Amino acid sequence: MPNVKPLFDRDELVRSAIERSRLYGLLAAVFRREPSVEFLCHLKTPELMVAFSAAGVDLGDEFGTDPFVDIADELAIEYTRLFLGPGKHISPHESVQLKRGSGILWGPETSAVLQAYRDAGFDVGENETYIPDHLSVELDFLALLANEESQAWAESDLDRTVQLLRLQHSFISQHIGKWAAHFCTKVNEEAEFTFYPAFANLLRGFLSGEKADTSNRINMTGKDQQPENGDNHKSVSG
Amino acid sequence: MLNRRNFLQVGASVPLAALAGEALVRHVSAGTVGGGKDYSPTTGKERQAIPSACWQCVTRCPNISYVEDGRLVKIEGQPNSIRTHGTMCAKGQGGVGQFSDPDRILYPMRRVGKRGEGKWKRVSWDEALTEVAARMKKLRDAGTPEKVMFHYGRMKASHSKLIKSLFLANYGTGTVGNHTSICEAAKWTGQELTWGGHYDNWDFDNTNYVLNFGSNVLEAHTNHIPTAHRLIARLTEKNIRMVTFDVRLSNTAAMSSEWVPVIPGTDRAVVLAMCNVVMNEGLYKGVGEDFLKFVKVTAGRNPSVDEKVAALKAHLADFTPEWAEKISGVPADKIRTIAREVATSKPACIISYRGAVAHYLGADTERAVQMLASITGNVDNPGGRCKAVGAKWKYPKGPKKKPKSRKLKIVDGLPGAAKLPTHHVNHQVLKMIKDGSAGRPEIYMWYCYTPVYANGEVQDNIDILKDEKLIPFSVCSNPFYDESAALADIILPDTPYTERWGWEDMVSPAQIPEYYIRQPVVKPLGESRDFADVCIELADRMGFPLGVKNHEEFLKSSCEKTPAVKAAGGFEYMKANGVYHDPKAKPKYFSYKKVLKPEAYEKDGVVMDPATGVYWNWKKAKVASEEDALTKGYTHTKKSYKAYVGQEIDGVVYSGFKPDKVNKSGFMELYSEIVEEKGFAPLPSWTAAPEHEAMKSDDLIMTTFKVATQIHSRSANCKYLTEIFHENSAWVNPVTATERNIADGDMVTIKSDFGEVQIAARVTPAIVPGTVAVSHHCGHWEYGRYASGKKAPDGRDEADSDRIWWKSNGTHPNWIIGNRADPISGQLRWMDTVVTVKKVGTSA
Repeated sequence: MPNVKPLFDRDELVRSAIERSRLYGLLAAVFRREPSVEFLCHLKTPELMVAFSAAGVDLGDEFGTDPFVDIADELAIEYTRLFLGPGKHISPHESVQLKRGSGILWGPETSAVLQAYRDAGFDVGENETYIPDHLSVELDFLALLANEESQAWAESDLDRTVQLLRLQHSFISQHIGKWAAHFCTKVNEEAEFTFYPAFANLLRGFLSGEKADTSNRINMTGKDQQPENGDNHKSVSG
Repeated sequence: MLNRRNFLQVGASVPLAALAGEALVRHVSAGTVGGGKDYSPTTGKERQAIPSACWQCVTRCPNISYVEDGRLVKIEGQPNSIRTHGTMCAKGQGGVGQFSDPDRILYPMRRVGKRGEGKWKRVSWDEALTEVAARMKKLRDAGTPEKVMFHYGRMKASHSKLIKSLFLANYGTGTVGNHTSICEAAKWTGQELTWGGHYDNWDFDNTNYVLNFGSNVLEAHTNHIPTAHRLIARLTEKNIRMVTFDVRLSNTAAMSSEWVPVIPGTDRAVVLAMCNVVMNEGLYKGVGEDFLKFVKVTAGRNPSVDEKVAALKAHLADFTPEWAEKISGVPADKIRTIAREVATSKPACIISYRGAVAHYLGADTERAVQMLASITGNVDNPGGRCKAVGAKWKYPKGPKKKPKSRKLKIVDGLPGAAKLPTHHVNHQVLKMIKDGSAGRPEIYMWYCYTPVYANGEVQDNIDILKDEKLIPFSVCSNPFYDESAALADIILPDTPYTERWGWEDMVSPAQIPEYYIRQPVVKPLGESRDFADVCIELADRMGFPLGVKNHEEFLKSSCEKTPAVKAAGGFEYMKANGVYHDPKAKPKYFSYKKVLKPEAYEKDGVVMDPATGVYWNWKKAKVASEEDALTKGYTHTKKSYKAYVGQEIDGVVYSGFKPDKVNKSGFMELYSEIVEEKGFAPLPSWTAAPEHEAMKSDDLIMTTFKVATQIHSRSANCKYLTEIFHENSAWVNPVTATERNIADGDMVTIKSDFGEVQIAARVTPAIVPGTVAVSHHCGHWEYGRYASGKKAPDGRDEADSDRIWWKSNGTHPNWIIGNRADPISGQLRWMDTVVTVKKVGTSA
């Protein structure tokens, strides 16, 4: 049997998948609802503040000075105005934001997103009130996939790993990657405080590298198959 | 330089407790929905066909809603409905837009900042209802529940029972307003004064002639599609003659055999003149004369038919066609010809709506139309205007013991505004609140209603609603952010009709009742909730549970309690089929002629009133004794109409024309002592609107109208409908335009006593001279991107903005229409406004 040299550091990939999962989870939480005082406290842990700084995430001067109760109140109004309405707002749904898309709630794009969840073995919870293509739900999906990916790496189940990477790649290519960037641009334009632009920029920056990164990881496994969306990419050997 | 390592380090540092991860679950959920199957013609995918009911207009047609991949994709007609035969108008089909409106409110909202500032915060349902319940309970506990005013625009059938009959009645407030006075209150009051309970069904299926005063039934009507498609079938298949009197060439007038232009507000003169012709030329003989037995045309009890004929002739003597021509502009010969036609075409359907009745003394116009129908024998007969038949559901009544309702006297108009407002003067509620002399509510709550936009004097409405000294607290339930929701303190996100339950009962033109239901075709979006369910929870929170878990359960129970529905298969049947009617039922006509069996009126508590011949149950009317009943009499006993049993005529006791809202007899009362006591002529007569008599040479009359693709105020968010109709204009006749140097397309200023608006002119012979017509539906400044043009962030392309090709959202005429009232019924006088029209740039 040929002796295949390992192309990857398994522990690093497990860790990296967990980190990605948590980053998606954080972004999902930010865009899902107004930040509670408790959530703001979590953001202000020293380790996370250092990481934010290094990543260029600036939550605003008031984050360092004002009482969280006041910040939470102001951000609740900001969140409502930006993402809920009533009236003019940036509806954080793929079907509304996608350029040349349907422009409506629960458009055909929403059905396609729901199908993507189901194809991956997930579904929207029975009591879930958010529409399937809400930004936070799409981010939740990526968090779940990345988390399962970390388990697959840990178990050296490369077939499963590739499947999960492929799902992430295709979801970014066909769904969230098509609208999140320009959604983030709008957030930058409309926000009064720096909080939401900070996370919008984090989302945009991170997501912009994810498509290539998932392809790289597939190649690292040595499984010589093209990603489902037929993108051309160069194989990267370890 | 940022690199991926920096991003991942964020992920590494996030506390687990900060993560979301609640939206998706591992297992695929299964769900079953009632209904049939269908397939997409383009994708081949299976769709679920779910029978439900529309809510775009009050017609509430049964529909079939198609769900594909979890979303509502199409709405079509219900072929099994005997009301609609599967037809569905543009408004109904455009209803998909209510579900998918990207500007829908999905969460409860609490205002922060000043009322109307546009600053909001999302709150949880618990927070919203805790506040609402606390405020309401405080007033109830203090013994002043009437200080909660509830005002609905559209609330029917099971919603009405749950919200009004159960919730509000058990809460204890009678300060309840509706919208009827801006709709057709004059028509209903006119009917209550004549034949009792309102609603006239137009039996087009069987008619041979249609005479129309001011109805645009082919574009808008309270039973729109069920009647309109029947009319079209009759016109095309049987080639019957239809004559429409209207100030403008509506699409109904255009589809008629003849359009007769008439000056606004003068239809009654024409109708009286036609009655004059019918009586004088003996054209009442036959079925008309036979019917006169059941008609009251004089004071006192029951003169002979000959005496009635003489009385009618005497009353109508001066209302000649020549007299009517001077008032209405309709040539006398034309009046005579049409009168002869309608009297000799058997049967004929004489119809009337807002064009004729939304005027000064509009209720009298409806009485005049009832007169013409009576003397031509076209009342409650096949082919005539008939007493309405609708489904009668049985339902859970809630707690047996209800508190005695208290109410603020603010729903019946300013003092002296209307003498018989049987459907209130709702458009003057805000004025009454401002006035304060009858008290003010501390909570103003509205549902499926827009006090700002739908009434006249829009600025006045805004100013009052904004004023926290006048209205300390306001709550509305609405799926959409309209002009009124923008001024609320709390917005509770209602479900649109696509996502809720209900039983329905709208009138069936087949004269056979149709039972039908509405069911959620998809789960409610976001956290929107059927307001009926919200009321059930509010009652629980305030400590007076209604005995119903939710609307679905209420509907299920109603299906069990209603014998016809239970026999068909109850709730499961209705979910699968949507509609039901008894296949063996016969159409109901001539209900007034039913002879009562003695056991109905020869019983304890029932007595005959000598003055009127009415048999009534004095015990039911809460009179102390039979002696008191006979002394006071039926007519002057409070709400004795509820105790009506029958009408004696020539020794026989008939079912008669059962009264409603007023204590009239069982006759078709063309002569009304009730109206006379209020200072009006007892028989339909003519008095011009005072402001029309005082018009200056430059003045015009402004009228308004509806189009087929929009409903009054709550469809402009449906993009398919607004794409078709988003901009209106001021229709003006070339003669009128030339006098004012106005060319087609010129911007003009229309000015009334209440303000002015600017709008483009449409110069057309399709409107009578001396008149200007501006439609409803337009000029929204809220209600989302399609209705108002308020796009998402300025300067950026929204996904749909390329497709919003229209640049203007039109002009709302209500800014300059007064919240005035017909002095009989309280009807808002939509069609009476005196205005000047000048080309923009012309000096005053």
